Amino acid sequence: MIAAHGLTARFGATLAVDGVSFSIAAGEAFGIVGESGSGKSTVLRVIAGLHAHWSGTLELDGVPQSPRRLRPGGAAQMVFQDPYGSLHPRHTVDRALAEPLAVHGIAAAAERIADALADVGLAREHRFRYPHQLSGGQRQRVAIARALILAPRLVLLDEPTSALDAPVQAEILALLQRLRREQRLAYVLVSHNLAVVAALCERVAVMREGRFVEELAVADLRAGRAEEPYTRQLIEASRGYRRR
Amino acid sequence: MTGALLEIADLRIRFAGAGEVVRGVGFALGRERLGIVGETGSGKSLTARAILKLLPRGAAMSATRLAFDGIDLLATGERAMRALRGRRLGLVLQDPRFSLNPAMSIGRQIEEAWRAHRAGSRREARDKALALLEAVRIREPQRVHGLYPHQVSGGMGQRAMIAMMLAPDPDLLIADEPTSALDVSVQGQVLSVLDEEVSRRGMGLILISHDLALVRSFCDRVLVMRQGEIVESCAAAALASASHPYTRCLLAAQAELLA
Ligand SMILES: Nc1ncnc2c1ncn2[C@@H]1O[C@H](COP(=O)(O)OP(=O)(O)O)[C@@H](O)[C@H]1O
Ligand SMILES: Nc1ncnc2c1ncn2[C@@H]1O[C@H](COP(=O)(O)OP(=O)(O)O)[C@@H](O)[C@H]1O
Ligand SMILES: [Mg+2]
Ligand SMILES: [Mg+2]
Repeated sequence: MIAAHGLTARFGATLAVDGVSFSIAAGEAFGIVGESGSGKSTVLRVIAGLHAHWSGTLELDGVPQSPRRLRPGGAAQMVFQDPYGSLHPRHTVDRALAEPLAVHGIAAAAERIADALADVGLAREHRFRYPHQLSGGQRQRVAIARALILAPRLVLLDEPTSALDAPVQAEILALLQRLRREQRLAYVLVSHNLAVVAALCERVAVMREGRFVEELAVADLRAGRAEEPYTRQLIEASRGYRRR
Repeated sequence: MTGALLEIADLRIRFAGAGEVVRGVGFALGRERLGIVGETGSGKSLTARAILKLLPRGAAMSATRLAFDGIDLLATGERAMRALRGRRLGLVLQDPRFSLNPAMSIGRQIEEAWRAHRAGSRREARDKALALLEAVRIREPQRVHGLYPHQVSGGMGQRAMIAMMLAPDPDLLIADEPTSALDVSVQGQVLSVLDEEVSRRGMGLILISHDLALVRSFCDRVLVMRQGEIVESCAAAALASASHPYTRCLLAAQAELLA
């Protein structure tokens, strides 16, 4: 699904991603965890074709990508942390979902929109609402529906629950789990929160200052079986303070 | 409740346009460690700032009781508040870069904090500052004393900030997300400095955080805030059997990792 080798990305003089390599099979859920500024979002943006200043090799579905060639949309879709920022404030839910279909010349839009809304647990009456008429969780459901409406096989999730209240976070995580199972999706999930990554992924890369310092199975993460001191620090910190 | 270090009853804070954002908060604090946990926007920082009467412009506050060591803060003027703040009440904020004075060396800032409330010579102030830097485990106090805030790392800046707040020997320290802006590699160090100094001096501590695991492991008692209200108040050790659905949800989110 994805094979990346020596992926490097810059913002001017800032080296945001520094030689990262990983591969993801179809249907797999891969997490990238790390502190703020470590380069997680930039990795996703390179995969999504939203950031052009990169080098290294990147294959999506066996097709080599180049920073300059525009990617045909549809194969990979992205969901951001803040759905308020990614939904147009003056477009209804219906219009937000119709747009990607129109761009790709897909027919039977009305039915697909109804199906997509049902898939993410939204009611029919939400279809003609504006973003400000929805709760944070409902907006994130719309963003997920919009990502799924083109039937992608890969979904890139950037802190998809970080802006939400805890009970809503749990609902959205459960929704993402169910959708992955039903639609056989592959995920790349980025989060600063180990628990979120552990809830959704099988394998995790720990990112620090643009590099992957360690890649490990979630089972090993849960059991505290990490090789790198930095990974252990992250695990310890997520468990609270230990008095010495 | 008499003899409490801090008493708050029915604290309310509102902003024109935003409505009431702290809605009837009340608790009492002894010389203990109280954690306030809740998500961003739940009203933790405003509650802390209300205790110091340092609310942002536009905030309207009311309470039926707000007392520190028996002093009615509602009836205390700005001058007297300033004296209390520097001396008996300390505040450690999230990012040391915004709370340290960029134009003064770290050592001087600690000296000033000490001298503001103690009659003592320059010499004594310097010795005290060096001792405090050592207490917060800064390895070369002599050197760091002369550095400016921009010349030190985030973790060192935060420890310097704690040293400054400890200088006047306060009775109550309020730490608002004291490690959230720091790399995970230094968070533990800053927390253990705070832990040791609070125990050694026997002062009261309010630790504010969005991190339930931290608050639960660091504090004696925990308040859970949501949308401007306290929804749960219990001993840290009793959190596992907390009954409020919201608290249960926070606990479940954390358990996800350990499951
Ligand atoms: N638009 C941008 N312009 C300049 N620098 C950026 C931009 N976006 C990110 N960066 C820098 O790239 C690095 C990695 O950022 P990012 O990928 O957003 O990290 P993360 O998602 O892990 O918080 C950081 O040093 C950040 O400051
Ligand atoms: N200066 C301000 N003007 C208007 N609203 C504010 C201001 N400061 C805080 N608020 C609002 O008050 C609420 C509580 O804020 P705060 O106490 O900072 O929350 P927390 O520290 O728990 O994240 C939030 O909804 C916030 O948007
Ligand atoms: Mg990011
Ligand atoms: Mg706050």
